[in-house]
Amino acid sequence: MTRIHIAADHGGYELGRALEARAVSGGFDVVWHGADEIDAGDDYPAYAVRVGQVVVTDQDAGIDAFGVLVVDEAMAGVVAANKVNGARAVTTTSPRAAMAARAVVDANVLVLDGIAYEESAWLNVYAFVTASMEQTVERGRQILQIEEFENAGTIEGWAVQLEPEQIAVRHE
Amino acid sequence: MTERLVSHLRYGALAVPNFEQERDFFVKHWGLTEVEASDGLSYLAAEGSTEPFILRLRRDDKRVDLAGFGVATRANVDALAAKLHAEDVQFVHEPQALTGFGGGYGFRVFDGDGRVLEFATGYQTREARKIREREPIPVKLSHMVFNSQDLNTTAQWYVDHLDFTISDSLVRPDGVDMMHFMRCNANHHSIAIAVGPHHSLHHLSFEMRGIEEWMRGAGKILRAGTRMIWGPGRHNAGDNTFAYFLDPAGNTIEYTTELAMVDDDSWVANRHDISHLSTQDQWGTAQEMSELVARESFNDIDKGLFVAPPV
Repeated sequence: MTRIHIAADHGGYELGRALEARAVSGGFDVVWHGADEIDAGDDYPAYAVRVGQVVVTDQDAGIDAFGVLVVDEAMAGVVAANKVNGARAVTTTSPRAAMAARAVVDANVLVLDGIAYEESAWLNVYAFVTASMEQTVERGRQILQIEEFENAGTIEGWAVQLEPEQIAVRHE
Repeated sequence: MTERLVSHLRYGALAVPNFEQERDFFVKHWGLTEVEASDGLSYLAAEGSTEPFILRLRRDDKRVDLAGFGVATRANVDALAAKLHAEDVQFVHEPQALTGFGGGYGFRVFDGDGRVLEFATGYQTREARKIREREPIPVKLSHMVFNSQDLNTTAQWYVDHLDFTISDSLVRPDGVDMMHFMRCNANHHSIAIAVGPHHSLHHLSFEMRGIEEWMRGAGKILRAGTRMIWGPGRHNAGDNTFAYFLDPAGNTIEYTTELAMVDDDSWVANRHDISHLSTQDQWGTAQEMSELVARESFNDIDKGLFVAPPV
């Protein structure tokens, strides 16, 4: 069963709870990561990072998981969530865009504005968690370039410069 | 149609001094399942493979213990043993009931350079499962590559004694052979031999379900702090995608997918010039296969040549 991790700040709390209820009744394995109740002064970065981290951890463990973050300003949440190593967060305003984000960059966190219309937001979420990555080598390669840079600071593979004594003698 | 007594590559067996670290890496990060363990010995299976295990790790000085091959029937095991005896191949033991995990009936020999090979049939297979979409774990063992200081002699041994066929080769611009990809079934290659400064393991390659799973797996390994020494890219020889990493013992390991299948009768072996960048990487994105990258996979000298592993 696909797992959906949801978190929301004060600006997204109501919509977040509504999406949580829809996801539960839709048969998904839903995990709520806060806030526990509306907290008018809370900051979105902690929620963004938390959702990013649990999604990447689950995916690396082979659990089919996605994240949904609902915050006052979705674009700010995207910036914060993408600081998590392995998170690929996007914001979309149509199911078609949500599917494209899955197809093109295997996006794993969907960030929504708290003011989004609930029905439309749910259609975005549903499209996002049910769409697949495009099975082409180009997409895989491009994502791995991002991940390589994220982890090693290079983009085209790298080799370590060996010390002279480590370099084997070649016999032709 | 070439009739071969060897049906497929089953497993690789390695001895490593940092046994626990190596085993933990393969279980926790690489995505294999430990199916049998005793002190200093671990059998690791791939969830998508019916082989009882595809990698065996043993605590000892670093060496290649074995390459395990499958044979279809008991009669074929006996026929292969008789053939190799007639060809004066050196045996480790005769066909017998195997006592390792999975059992079966088989024998072991040294190849021309002293690597130990096992040929077996009738072992207990494992219930495989379909790897889920996006599941970042290997389906099966894809191929095993050896470094050789005498490439053509090593490759010819596999042709002469085991009826392997060269599917493709990499050559230098001056025509000198650098690597041979060799098949024993429809897979483009199950083993390959590369020019190296000494005999050693070049790499072990693990097949992923598809592009997305290959990408997810490689991303996971990067996040585990493992060095990607070459990739991501797509080979011309074999048409498979690649991403190479170094395991904790310094062995090169690869996630691959979409290795080509070839028709035995119609496939014509190519000789790819390694000076053409497209030969190594159809996408041109992985860095050029320089000598520095090649050295990463020279590995340590194999201490297991002409020495049978204790198990």
